[in-house]
Amino acid sequence: MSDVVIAGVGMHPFGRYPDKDPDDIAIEAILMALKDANMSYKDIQFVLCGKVAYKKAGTGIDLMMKVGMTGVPIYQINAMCATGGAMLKLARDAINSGSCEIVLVYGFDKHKGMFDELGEPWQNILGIKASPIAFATVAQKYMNDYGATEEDFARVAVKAHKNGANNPYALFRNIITIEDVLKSPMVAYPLHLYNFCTPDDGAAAAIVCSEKVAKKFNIKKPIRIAATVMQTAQYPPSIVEPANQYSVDISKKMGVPVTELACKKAYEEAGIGPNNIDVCEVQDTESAHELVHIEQLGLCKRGEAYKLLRDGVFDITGRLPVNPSGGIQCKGEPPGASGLGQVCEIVWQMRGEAGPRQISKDPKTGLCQVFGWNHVAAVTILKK
Amino acid sequence: MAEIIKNQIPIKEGMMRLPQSSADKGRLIGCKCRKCGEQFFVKREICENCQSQDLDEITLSSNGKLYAFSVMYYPPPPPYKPAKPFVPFGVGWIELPEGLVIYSLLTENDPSKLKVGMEMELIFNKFDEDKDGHDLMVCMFKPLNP
Repeated sequence: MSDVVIAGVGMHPFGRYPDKDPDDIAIEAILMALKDANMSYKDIQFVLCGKVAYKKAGTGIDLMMKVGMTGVPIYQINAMCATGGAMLKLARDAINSGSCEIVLVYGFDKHKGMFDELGEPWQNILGIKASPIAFATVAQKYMNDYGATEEDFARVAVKAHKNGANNPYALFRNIITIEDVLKSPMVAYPLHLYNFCTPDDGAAAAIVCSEKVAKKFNIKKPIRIAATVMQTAQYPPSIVEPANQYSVDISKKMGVPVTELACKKAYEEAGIGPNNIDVCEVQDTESAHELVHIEQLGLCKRGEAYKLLRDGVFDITGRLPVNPSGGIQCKGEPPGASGLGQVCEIVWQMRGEAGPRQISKDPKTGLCQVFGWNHVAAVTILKK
Repeated sequence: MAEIIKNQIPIKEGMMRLPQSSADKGRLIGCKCRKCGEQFFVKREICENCQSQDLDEITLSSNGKLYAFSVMYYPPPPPYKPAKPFVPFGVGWIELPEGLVIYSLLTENDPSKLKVGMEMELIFNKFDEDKDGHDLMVCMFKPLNP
């Protein structure tokens, strides 16, 4: 098992900051993470920067020049909405390889609207691969196959807002009702406006190091990275997965969603199963995918998540709290930062520092899952 | 009629054989890997499964069953050019008898009139005009028994 830990985390509230330089947003998160880890930038030996939507060139390195010039290697990573998880794996592997001992991982973004040009040029002219509709077809299939309703999807958003209301890092901190969601405009059938995350600005950072180094820096509550997996499609791709795919041949075999592929490896790496997970943050691009991802992660049976949600299982007082942060339905999604935003939340929950949204049980393990465009997912399992 | 047909071009070259007469319904064109037999729509150069570059062109079935669908109520980002006012549009996955599930625009934009498993048939519609005045043609699937 890996002895790599998260020594510190930092986050700049996700939201809309038209008058703030995104670099400054990122720097706040970085400095917070360094302080949390009792470290200074001079201690960092390797830097990974995640950025997806923000168009300014070269910012991974440019930005760090504003923090300090220590000569360390700095790489910029883009794995779409799975960027945070993808970077964490690189950081863990870099430490395990022996090439460095302390890594700064940060992600930031300024995201203004739907992604332009996700698909092939002709698909974009047709508008047929716009992300809301690609996610919505999966939601429709879920309803059809398992009997979930628009009301169930609304219940996911209601639960998210109940948690988000207590999260100072969230964009939306208002309580909403099932009726509010169902009355909000339909964006892509069967999903309403309040079912969707919204693109916004923000940053998150983590300091990753070996357990030995964490001791040296007197880290009181290091959180161990028990598993971290980055996964892309393995032929045949899953149909029920938003991507550029225009056809899927199911004549011989059905494809497996990338999250399912990733979590199998992650559980094996961590030496635990889905029944041992105490708290998780999953990709909730919209409400339906929170349920879809819970099931793909094996946290319950197929078609069961919406029923467990009705019973309060995923509430912060429930057996398996999901998205205690309010998820990106409340935080909004700066895709470069959102994955590490999940990691911040789980670390705070595992240290017992989540304040009014602290889950009822004392979590020994936590899971973060991100999913991004064109069949990419990352799953991270954290342990105390 | 013939002149109008001559003025039509597909939204993507090689994706479809447009109807050549009123009796001809046209077909969609895909490909099949000669090595592993996997099928793809639209045509591609490399097999996603076995990386072979030896792929045969095939014509696809024009009828299938609706596998999943949605209706988009907001205009997608550019280069999509929304009509004013924007008209919601349906999309869906259609399962063809050969085991290929393809993603397509639907003629129907009322979700209450769409049902998973319903029989769908291929038609071709004008989507837009290009700068030379050609009709840009797209494939759509429409419920066989609405």
